[in-house]
Amino acid sequence: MTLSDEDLVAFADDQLDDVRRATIAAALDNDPEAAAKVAQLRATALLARQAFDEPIREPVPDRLLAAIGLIEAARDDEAEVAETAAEVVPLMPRRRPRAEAPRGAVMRWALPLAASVALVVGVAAGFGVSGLPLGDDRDMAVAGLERWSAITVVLERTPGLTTVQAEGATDQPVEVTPMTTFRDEDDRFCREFQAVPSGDANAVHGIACRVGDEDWQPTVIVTLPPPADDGIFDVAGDPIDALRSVLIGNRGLNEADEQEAIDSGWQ
Amino acid sequence: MTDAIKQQLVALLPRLRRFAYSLAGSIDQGDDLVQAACERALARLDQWQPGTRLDSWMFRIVQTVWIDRQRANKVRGVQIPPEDVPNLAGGDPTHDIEQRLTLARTRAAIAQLPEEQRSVLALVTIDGYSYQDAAAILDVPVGTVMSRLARARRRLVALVHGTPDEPANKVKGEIA
Repeated sequence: MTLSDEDLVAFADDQLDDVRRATIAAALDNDPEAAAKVAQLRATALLARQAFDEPIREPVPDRLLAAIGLIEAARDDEAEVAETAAEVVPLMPRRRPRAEAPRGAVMRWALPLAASVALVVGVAAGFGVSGLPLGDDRDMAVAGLERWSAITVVLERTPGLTTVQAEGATDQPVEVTPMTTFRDEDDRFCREFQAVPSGDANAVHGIACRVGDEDWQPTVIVTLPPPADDGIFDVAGDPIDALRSVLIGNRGLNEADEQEAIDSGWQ
Repeated sequence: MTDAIKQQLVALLPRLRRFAYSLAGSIDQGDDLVQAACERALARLDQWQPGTRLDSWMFRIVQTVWIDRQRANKVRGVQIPPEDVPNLAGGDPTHDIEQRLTLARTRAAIAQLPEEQRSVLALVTIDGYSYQDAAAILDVPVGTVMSRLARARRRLVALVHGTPDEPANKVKGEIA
């Protein structure tokens, strides 16, 4: 029999009913040229799928969620930041971490000052944001250690996207919201979080990883600029947003896995 | 729009974005299409019949928005440069670069297809719709889907492998 392009394409795409598929398979046995063509069709179909799969592997941009009305176009407050993240969780990108940190971008990083906190800047350094300019003058008290122990309690026990008021050793309470949870390269549990202190201290957005059996330590912390008069945080250019897909990659925990990790004490 | 439909729509977004990317040739322009399609869907939600497939309806809207824009812009036949500059930042291994170049060539090849062939390719080959479903989305007969797809696939093989399209790749018995 002669095989048309339509036949071969339908066969390659597995779009035929059983009878027709068997007929063409038999014909291909005697037609090496057509069989080679089927192989080529399959190979290029695979390429076509791979060529456009970036949106499948990446989180949906906020503007599309906003178009559906699931989030506000601008994040008004902490709750909406959490809501944004809520939409991200089930759509966790499945992608290999690859280096695409916004190198060279002008970013304002600020790290907690207390020397006793072993900051693991290496994670960021691996992605081209080493040489973090320490000493941003606006910020530092924010994630101070006196509050860190309170934050760790929240990270230890609180499910994602739940805001908890943590009482630090100081008189300023801080609202802490764990966001995404993932495992890092060393298989440690890590959690992205946001901490908004009362008073005039800066809010922070950070990632902490569980080191050893019980200790959450900040891996990377960025202070959010003070909100404008209307209380809106301008999070444009927040490097953690840029880092999220790189750091979290395909190792994000879904809600159930996260709860399990909490219940098991992160073991 | 009810929350249930919104959630369905959110779940569809990655596929819609991929579809629009393959039509428009760039992720940004694709996202523009998806955004416009979502807005159009919101405005015309009464036209969606509950019980029918939301995905088919949304793919059709994306396709329609794309065609509308093609016509409005009079860019029919004009090639939109695909996002084919490999992102070399980060020091990927060489084989990754080769793979990226191959995929970039594939995107460029698909961008050269006539729009009706590209639509069919995007729906069937990239998204995995059946011929019947693709025919329903595009509102054309199944036979048209088959012939457009065959032409698109033959052309894609030729472009990606850099071989002459006609008549060397003709398979015997083909009806042109």
